[in-house]
Amino acid sequence: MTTGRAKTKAILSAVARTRERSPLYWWLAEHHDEMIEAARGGRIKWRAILDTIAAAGITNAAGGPPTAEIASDTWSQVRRDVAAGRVRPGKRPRQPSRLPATWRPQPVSVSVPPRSAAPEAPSRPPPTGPESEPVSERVRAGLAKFDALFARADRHLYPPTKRKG
Amino acid sequence: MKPKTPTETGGVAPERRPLLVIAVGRQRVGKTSLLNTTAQFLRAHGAQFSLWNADTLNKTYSLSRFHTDVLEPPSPDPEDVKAWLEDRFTGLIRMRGDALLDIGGGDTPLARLVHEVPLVQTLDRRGVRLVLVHVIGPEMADLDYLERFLSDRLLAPEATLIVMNKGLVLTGRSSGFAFSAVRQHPAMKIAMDAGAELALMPSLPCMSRVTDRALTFADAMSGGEKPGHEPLSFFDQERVAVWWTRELPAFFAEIPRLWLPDMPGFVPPPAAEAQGPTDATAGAPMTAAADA
Repeated sequence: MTTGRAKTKAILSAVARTRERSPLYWWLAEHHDEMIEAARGGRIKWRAILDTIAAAGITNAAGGPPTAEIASDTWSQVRRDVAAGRVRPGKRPRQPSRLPATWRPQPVSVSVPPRSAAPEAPSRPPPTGPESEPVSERVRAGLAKFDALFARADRHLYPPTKRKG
Repeated sequence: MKPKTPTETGGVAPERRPLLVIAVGRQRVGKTSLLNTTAQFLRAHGAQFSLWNADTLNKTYSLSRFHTDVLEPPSPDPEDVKAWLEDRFTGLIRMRGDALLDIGGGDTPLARLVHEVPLVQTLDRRGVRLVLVHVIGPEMADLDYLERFLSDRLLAPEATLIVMNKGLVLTGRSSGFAFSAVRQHPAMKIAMDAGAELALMPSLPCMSRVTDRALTFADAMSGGEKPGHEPLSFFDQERVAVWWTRELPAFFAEIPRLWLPDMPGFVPPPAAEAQGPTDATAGAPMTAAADA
């Protein structure tokens, strides 16, 4: 089902696009090359263009007008991401709002287990054991310390365990 | 994490070097609380160091409310703060002392500075150890700083300490559960693999009642009062005392000794006491090594 796959791809692309990135970030990414050309190697005076950015409705992650510091940092991040190949300049992924009006998500069957009475008392954290993936000796030691720190911190929550032997 | 042995350090015993300790992290994860607590604890145990407060936006709860010798930048302008930081760092290299820096959260002048200068290497070449303290809570977003710092390597010294703030766990929850997602986060494992140390900052339930009064912890324990405030309750006084005398020593014992200003009056609690009855497998006591 090619059409379905294309829609899925568009949604995933939009999700990836919006994850933890502000509209300002994406605007700068889309206009990366033009920005580079306009700056001509010089410093961008962000304070001078903040009003224009705000008037264009380009916001920070919180939906507000970006400050000069945020704009400067965001631009640095965009340049790093473009340089590292994490973002393609000028690329504008298709957004869900541009999908056909007739499009509907495919129904998904999910079996939800019946809700049981919530335990009032805190339960013991999941037992630690061999990691699911191979880790270095340093990481193993770090995780062991992590577990020890929290076992000590939470010791008042659990009854003492009996030792063998 | 095991401290490095003399063999691993080339047969040379780790040396004490001037320290610059910087706390970073999201806003409201407890950076100032940690630095304020650390400064008071260090001084109570004979350490000498400078205190720098570049968190000029935080007026209500800043280091300057608790310490009379805090240096602050002349203006909140980021460029002024950046220039002020450069002066402080230069002075630290020249004077060979130790300093604790509160840089605040969000977009900081420090972030700008490290984009221009490889700060870790610059200080290291001049014999100063930069200790970066990542303060995190149980939320995944609390790891954004760590992840970003590790990915761009702009500020990722070997002396990296990850302090998990138990005070951010909702009352009644298991802190182990609250932080279980943090444990699985790839950034944590990358940091551990790079040599980061872990510590769990104990919570003080009445922390805000102490800090709202601008009381030092010593004053809070002894029933000190501030004009315009109700006296701290006896129970809160006892809470502070238990936290100060039992929990904080165990916390500071987890931190490599060379990553903190020297505390001649500090005797780490015995390992058995520090580890409690859980007989945990790890939890290295205050280590003399882990030298960068």
